Amino acid sequence: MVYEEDNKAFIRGFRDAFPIFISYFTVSLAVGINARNVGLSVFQSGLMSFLNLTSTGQAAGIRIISEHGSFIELALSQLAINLRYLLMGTALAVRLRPGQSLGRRILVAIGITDEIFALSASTPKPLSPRYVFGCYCMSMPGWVLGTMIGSALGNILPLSIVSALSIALYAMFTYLVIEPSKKSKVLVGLVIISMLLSLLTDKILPSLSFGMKVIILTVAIASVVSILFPLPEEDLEK
Amino acid sequence: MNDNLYIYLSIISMAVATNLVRILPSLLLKRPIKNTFIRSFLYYAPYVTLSVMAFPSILYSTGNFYGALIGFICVILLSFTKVGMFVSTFGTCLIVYLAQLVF
Repeated sequence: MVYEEDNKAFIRGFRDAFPIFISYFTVSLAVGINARNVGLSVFQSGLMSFLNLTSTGQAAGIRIISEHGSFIELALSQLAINLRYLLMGTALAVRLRPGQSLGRRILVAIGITDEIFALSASTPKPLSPRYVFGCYCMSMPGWVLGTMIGSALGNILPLSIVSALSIALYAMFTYLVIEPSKKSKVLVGLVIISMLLSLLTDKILPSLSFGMKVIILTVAIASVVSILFPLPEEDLEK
Repeated sequence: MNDNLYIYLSIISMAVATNLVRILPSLLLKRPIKNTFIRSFLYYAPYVTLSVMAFPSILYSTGNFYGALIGFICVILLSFTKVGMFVSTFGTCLIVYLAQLVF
């Protein structure tokens, strides 16, 4: 097989990721607003977005910071929330052209997000690392810029617009669990039970921190469901 | 601990954990995970995490309970269409904005 020139792969990834840029920019405005509300500066918000590049992780992190949670709690919440990156990292590592240096494999891994993974995993094998770099170089600035602008303008935008935008992240989480559930009854049940137990936990243990609630419920519910409904072999690639 | 130091150390704790999860497979894994329980767990865990994060927090996210409830129902309905994440998310914001003019 003749490999595509690496430069072309970078440009292709850069171009393909433009919709991600737009989507990241607008969603991260809300992340910036949340960060501002708990006392992060514009620079701190931007740094968090640059170093983490994870909407759900940062939303949880910001929530935990607002409660002055411990660093262990912060780290554990990121592990729990972003466990899926283990699977994505595994899938991308398998798709890469063999013989990549360790440095390149690590750079590819740092670019993993749901959206960049979705693009990278749907290009034909073998995957060029430069394609992932291209996606990253287009997407990441959208995420960081949006966060910083949201953080800077948070209290300049009218309250009604800030309030409406504040639901954006939660709407995105809901979309991300409902949309794939259309094809699986197990997922429908899993989502409904998770939401109900989340509500119940708030009522029974109101003093439990948000981060610990996420970790405990994730480990407990995902373990039970994995025992009751183990994945069939053909889902290995997902 | 002063607030700025706490925030910087928090950001670093998060970044180390998040990027560790991203990098670990390329460092450790030479072949795909075979263990059915671990594969299943890694597959299901994100759905639980996202569901727990979304609900009931979404109802208190805007400061207007009924507006947020309408938003929650709206995004569920949009998720069943083919409009995609972008339109579902910001369509919901628009609906919530309009609902807040009423409630």
